[in-house]
Amino acid sequence: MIRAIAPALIAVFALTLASAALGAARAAEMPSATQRGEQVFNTRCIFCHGEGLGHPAWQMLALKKGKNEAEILGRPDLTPAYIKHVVRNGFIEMPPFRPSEISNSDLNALANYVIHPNGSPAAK
Amino acid sequence: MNVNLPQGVSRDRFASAMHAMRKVVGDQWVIVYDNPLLASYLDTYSAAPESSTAASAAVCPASVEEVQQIVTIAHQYRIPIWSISTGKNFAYGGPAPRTAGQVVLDLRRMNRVIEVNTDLGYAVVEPGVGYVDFYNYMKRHKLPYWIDCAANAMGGVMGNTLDHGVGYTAYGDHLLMQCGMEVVLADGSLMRTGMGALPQGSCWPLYKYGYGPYIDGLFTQSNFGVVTKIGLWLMPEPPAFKPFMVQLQSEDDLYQVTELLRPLKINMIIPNAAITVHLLWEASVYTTKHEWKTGAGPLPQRTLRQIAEKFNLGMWNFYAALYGMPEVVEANWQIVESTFRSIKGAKIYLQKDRAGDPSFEYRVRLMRGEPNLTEFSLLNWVGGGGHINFSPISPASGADAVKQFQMIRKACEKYGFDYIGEFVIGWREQHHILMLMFNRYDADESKRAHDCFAQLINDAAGQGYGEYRTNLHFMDQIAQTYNANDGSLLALQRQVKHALDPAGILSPGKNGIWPLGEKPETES
Repeated sequence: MIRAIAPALIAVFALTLASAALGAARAAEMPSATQRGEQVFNTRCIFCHGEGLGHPAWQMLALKKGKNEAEILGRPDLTPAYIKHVVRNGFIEMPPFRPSEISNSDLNALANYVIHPNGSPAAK
Repeated sequence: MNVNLPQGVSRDRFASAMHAMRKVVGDQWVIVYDNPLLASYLDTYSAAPESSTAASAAVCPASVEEVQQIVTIAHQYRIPIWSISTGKNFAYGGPAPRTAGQVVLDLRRMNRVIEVNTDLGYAVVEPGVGYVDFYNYMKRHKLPYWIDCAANAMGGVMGNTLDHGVGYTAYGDHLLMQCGMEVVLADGSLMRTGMGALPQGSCWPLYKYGYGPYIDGLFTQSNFGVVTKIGLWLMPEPPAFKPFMVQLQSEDDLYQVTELLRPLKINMIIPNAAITVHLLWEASVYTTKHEWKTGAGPLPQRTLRQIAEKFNLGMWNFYAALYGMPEVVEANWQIVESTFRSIKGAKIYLQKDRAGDPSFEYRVRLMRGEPNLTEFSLLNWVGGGGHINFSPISPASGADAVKQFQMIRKACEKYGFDYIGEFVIGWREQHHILMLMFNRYDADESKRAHDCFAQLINDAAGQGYGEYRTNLHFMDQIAQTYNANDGSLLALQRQVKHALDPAGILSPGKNGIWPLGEKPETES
C-alpha cells in the first residue's frame, strides 16, 4: 500500500514543485509595482524629467527651485495624489496624459516610483 | 454643469450614443463630460482658450473591429468623432478636437507593431504606436533598422505621417516612406489601399500604387476615413554615420548656406532633412529669456550676439549628416566640407568636437532616429507653455529663405515676440518653422500670438507662400488661402467629403474640410 501510494505522492510532490517553479518564473516575469513604475517613468517621463540640460522639465525646475530639487525622483515634498493630478491635468509647460497612454494602475505605480524610486514596503 | 454637447445633438441622443459605445469598448473607455479624466483631452498649448476645443467625450477602442462599431454608432446617432492617434501633436492641437463638443476617437490603445520584415525593411503599425514604443521595439528585438522620429518623442508614427510630418534621417519625409493603409470608412466598412486590396498577397507594404487611382493621400490631413494601419519603409542601420554642424556667424549667411545646400540636396549628397536653425532655438537648451531681459519685447541684436558668444552658437546653425558605406561617406564629406568652408567665418564641427553639448547631441540623436524631447526646452524660453507653429513652404533658395525670414521676424517684432525659427530643407523645398512662444497664462500675450499668426498667414499668402500644416484654430484660414480657380481645390475636397461621409461625422473641419451645409468659422 505504501509502495503504491509513494509513487503517487512523489508525482504530486513533483507536480507541486513544478507548479511552484512555474509560479516563481511567472512572478519573476511579472514586474513589481516599483519596476512597473520605473518602466512607465522611463518611457513617458524621463525625456523631460531626466537629469541635466537637455531635459526641459529638469531645466525649468532647476531655475525655479535650484538644481538640488530639479530631480523629481525621490523628492520628499511630493505626494501620490499630487503626481497623479499633474499627470492627468498637466502643469504649466507639462501636457496632460490620458488613461489610454498611462492606465490608472500604471499611474499608481508611477506615482509610487517617483516618490520611492528605490522601492517601498507598499510597492515590493 | 457646463455641458459641451456636439453641435445640434440633444442630451438624450448623446446619452444613447454613449451607452451604445460603452457596450463596445467597456465603461472605463468612454469618458464623458462629467468625468474629470476628460481634462486630459484639452489642448494646453494653443493661444485660444482651452474651452474652445473641449471635447464632450472620448472613446478609446482597442481593435479595428471596435473602431468599426464605434463609427457605425456615430453614424447612426449623427455624433461627430475626431480621430487622434497618440494625441501629442503639440503646437497643432494635441488631443483636442476641432470644435468644442466633438467626441474624440482616441486610438492610442491600438498600439501594436504588427510586423517588422527584416528582409524587405518595412513595418506595419497601428495608430497608437508612439516613437518611443517603436524605438524600444526595434532595440528589444535587435532589429538592424532605424526608425525616423519627429523632434517630439511623445509623438506617434502614424499620426505624424498622416499629418505630413517630417523627421531627420534620410527617411525623414514620412509620407514618402509610407506604403499601404487600412481605413475604416464612415459607414463602418473596412478598406485597404494599393496591393492590400488583393484578398491574398504580400506586396501591401512594398508597392504603393496597386491598380487604379492611388488614393492613400486622400486619408492624410483629411477626414475621409479612420486609418487603422499603415505600412512604412525602414532605413537600414548604416555602416557609417557622420553628423556635422556648420556654425554661421552672421544672419546674412542664410542666403549663402541655402544656395550652397540646394545642389547637395538635389544630388542626394546630403540625404537627410538638413536644417538651418536660428540662434534662439538652440540657445533655449541652455538659457531662458528672463536671464537676458525683463519686460516685454524681442531681444535686441546686441543681446543675441552675447548669447551666441556665451554658448558657442552661430546666428544660424546648420545641421545635417552623411550615411552609408564609410568610403562613400568620406568621399562625400570632402565635397560637403569644402562647400561649407567657402562661407566666410563658418566653423564646422563634428561629433568629437562637441561631445557633451546638449544642443548638438539632441540634433545628432534625431538624425539617427533616437526619440528625445530636448527641443521642448523651447517651452522654457518665456515660460507658460504656449506655442504654435507657423510653417510656410518655399523653394529651397537663398532669396526665398531671406524673404521669409525678414517677413516673419518683422511680424514677430510688431507683436512683441522673438523670432525663433528654423528651415528644414527637404529635396527641393524647405519648411520654414516659426516656433511662436508665449505665456498662455497671459491673456494679452496669448491674443497677440493669435493675431500675429493670423497676420502671418495673410502676409505669406500675399507673397505666394502657403503652410503645410497647422493648429486647429487656423485650419479654415489657411485652407482659404489655397483658393486658386475660385477655390476649386477646397470645393473638390468638400465634394469628396460628401461622397465618402455624407452624414459628416468624421473629424468635421479637419484642415478646413467641413461637411456640406456646415460653414467654416471665421476666426481672424
